Amino acid sequence: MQITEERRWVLTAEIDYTYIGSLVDRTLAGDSDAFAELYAATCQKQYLFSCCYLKDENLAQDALQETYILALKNLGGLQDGKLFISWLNQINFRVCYRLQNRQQRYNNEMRAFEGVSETAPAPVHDSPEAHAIRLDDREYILQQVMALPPSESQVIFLHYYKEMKINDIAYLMDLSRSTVKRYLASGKARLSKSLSR
Amino acid sequence: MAKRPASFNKYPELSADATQKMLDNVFDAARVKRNTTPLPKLALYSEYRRERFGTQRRLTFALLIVFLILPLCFFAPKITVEQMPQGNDRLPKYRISVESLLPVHRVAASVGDTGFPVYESGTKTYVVQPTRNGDLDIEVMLLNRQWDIVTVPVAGVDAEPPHILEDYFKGGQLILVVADDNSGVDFSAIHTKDAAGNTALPLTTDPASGEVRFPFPEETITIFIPDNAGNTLQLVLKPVEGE
Repeated sequence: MQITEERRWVLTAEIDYTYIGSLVDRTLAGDSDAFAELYAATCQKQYLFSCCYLKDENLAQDALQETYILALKNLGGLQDGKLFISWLNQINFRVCYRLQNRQQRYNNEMRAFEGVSETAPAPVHDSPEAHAIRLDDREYILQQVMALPPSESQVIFLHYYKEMKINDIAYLMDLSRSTVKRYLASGKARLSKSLSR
Repeated sequence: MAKRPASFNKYPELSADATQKMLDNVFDAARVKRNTTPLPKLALYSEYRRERFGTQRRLTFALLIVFLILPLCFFAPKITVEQMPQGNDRLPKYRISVESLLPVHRVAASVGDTGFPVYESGTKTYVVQPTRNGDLDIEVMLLNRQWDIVTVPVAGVDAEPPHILEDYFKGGQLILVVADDNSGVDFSAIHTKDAAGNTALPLTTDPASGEVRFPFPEETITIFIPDNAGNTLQLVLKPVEGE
């Protein structure tokens, strides 16, 4: 088999989690090739996740790099190496969330600097007070979503905030469709309980 | 295998150069020495591992299925036969119950070479009505081709041959009125045989009245009148001079 530089890496088969765990152990023992193999096996899907989240390929590359730096620096904190991929998904999700917030703040500041209103104009029937309350509510709900268990918060965020299909979420997170649906259902139940308090 | 959904086509994959460059940055930022094995080679190995693992999983699954199915191939049916109350036809009836996890492929019942129709009366329950006495062999075959035979002695079938109610000659014909109170006369099997072994059928039969007409014989013949249970009345008809 000839290896070329044009080779693309796509996740096309089942993941051997035990092997992934052994790569984590080898990385912790100082084997850079083991981490490179983890990276090679996961980077395309993580990049795709960042692209879908941030809708910007350059920003997605920044997120990807930051994700793997954080992963490599904090790998010692991972209790079970077999969970590396879901742990990496969570890191990537948090990095994208932070990057997007930072980007949004920057855009808002630029708009303010240019004399443009910070937020989109409120509908005519909406009073400024009601609009402010609505924005507060959205922020509060988002906080509650982010406070959910990691897998549930990711699935709910991607499905309802990023409007991604269940199939796409399942592919990106290496989950089955039924697992995504289960996370959605349990996340919604948990969310409605916390919001009704 | 997970196939990349078409909705992701708007995002092209990272090039090999960009991927390697980013990994170098990651190692540098974490102050870890860079990888020595080229990334494409590691990626290939990773893919190979995944494919091999996938194949192993599929193979394990297939073997598991085989081991689960294999015992089913050797399940034989358990047959229970019980006699049912006789109906108006006075023939014995037997209910055949089959116990098995697998579906029944075939149920057959016979006494010697004579087979009898078997009717399905319920789920894995069948009824057979033998018309002959003897050892009734009931064979049940399951879908896995495993079979079992149960033999039941049948004695309650009509053992009496038909009898003659009336006999007379008219218009050069021998007319017999026959009857069988049990299984009934088998009119289609009535025949005659001469001394040379030649067989002949009657001129007419009328199952409603029991009337059977034969041509007046010129030599000695034997008349065979069987019933539906296999009993046969034999009559020897010998022409007498002067009549």
